[in-house]
Amino acid sequence: MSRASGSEPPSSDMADSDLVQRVAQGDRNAFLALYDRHVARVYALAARMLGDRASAEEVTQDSFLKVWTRARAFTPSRGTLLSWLLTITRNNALDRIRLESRRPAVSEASLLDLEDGRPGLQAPGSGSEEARWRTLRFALAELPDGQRQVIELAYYHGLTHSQMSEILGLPLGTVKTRIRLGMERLREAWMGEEPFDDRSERARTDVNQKRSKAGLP
Amino acid sequence: MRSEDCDRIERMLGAYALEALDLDEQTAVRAHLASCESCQAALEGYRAVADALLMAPTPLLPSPRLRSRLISRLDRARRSRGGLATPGYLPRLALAVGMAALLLVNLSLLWQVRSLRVEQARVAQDLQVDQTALSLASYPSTQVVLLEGESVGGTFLYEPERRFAVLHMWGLDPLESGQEYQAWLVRPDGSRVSGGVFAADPNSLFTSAVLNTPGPVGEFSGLGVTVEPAGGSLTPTGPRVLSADL
Repeated sequence: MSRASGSEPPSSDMADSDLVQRVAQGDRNAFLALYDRHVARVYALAARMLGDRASAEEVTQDSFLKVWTRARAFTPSRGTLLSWLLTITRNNALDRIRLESRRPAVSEASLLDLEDGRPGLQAPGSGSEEARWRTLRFALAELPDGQRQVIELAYYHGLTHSQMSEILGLPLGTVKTRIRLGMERLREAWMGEEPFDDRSERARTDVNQKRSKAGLP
Repeated sequence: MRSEDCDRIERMLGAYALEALDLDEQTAVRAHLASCESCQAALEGYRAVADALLMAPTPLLPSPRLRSRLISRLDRARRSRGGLATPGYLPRLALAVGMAALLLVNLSLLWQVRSLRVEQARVAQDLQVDQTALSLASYPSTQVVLLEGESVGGTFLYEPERRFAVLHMWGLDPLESGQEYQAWLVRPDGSRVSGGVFAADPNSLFTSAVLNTPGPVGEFSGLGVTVEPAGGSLTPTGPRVLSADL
């Protein structure tokens, strides 16, 4: 047992950076606190990339085990713990995709129907961060389908320009242009926009409903 | 300083942040970024978008089993961490170390598979002996005979109508290589038939063997165990370590 003896149980409002320091000393409770706080995002990303529950759970497990064994390597100056954790998760998932020559995962909408998958009830992160992510999700959903598709194939499936051109049967120039335009729009949304309010949250729901009615990804 | 290249490079920064560029373009962008602050600044925005895309999927909880599975693996994960340095530094060295480690892992796995096969064969044999003994013990007419030798003892389980029996022995010394124990069944006329060869079990106080006999065990009048050259002999030639009358 490598549990740090005599440590206080971590409180729910303890900062990630304090928790990860405790994890580096072998504090299991701190590790589980991080798990409970972030697992919904890690699993969501893995499921989005891999498209099946079993693989997503394995990747989620591997990612958290890496945090457990490599907590010392985390450097707060380079970014938040969550983005470190999600970067690890993305790399793990890409390794698996490449190893198994997987086909691109199905769309997010159908993942919500996964047997054991339940929407995360607890909203991690602060309110304003959460609002910015919602903003981005909304901006992504608002992109023309062709632009969103190439961005997702690139980032969630690890494909390059020429691979996408081949898979989608599109000219290389078209793929490049779509990525560029889509990323420019996302950057504007992320850098410039104020967090969306409830009205745009409703609009997002409408978009999703329209999309699923049309049977689009 | 903006150069004439900047426009061309800037158009690729979004794809660069997504790691979607093919190798030649990626190399060109990286080389340009190294000396261009204006493009570095432009990249920051795309980097932020890429980071945010990691958080874009709607949060989703995995099954609660994952949590308990993870807890059960924490101790093992720590122990097997080994002494590798933290990731991110000296990737080439890490790769070389990783390859060497993989090779070692493979070699040791190969060795483990071989030992496992040996172990599996042994366990399968033990199981066969145990099952035979068990089934023999369940026959109402099974008999048990005590075997005696110098500092060696044993029991012989047999059912007179069957053509097999189980021999349990204790105190058998391990033999030199090139030698094996051989069991003999003695006919009423005094002639001996081989019941098979076996080695002393080095992992246990007891050695067990299943004997296959050329006829029903009840037709034989005695039993013996001798030391013979590996592979066994046609008739007993070595010293006798155990014997019994049936």
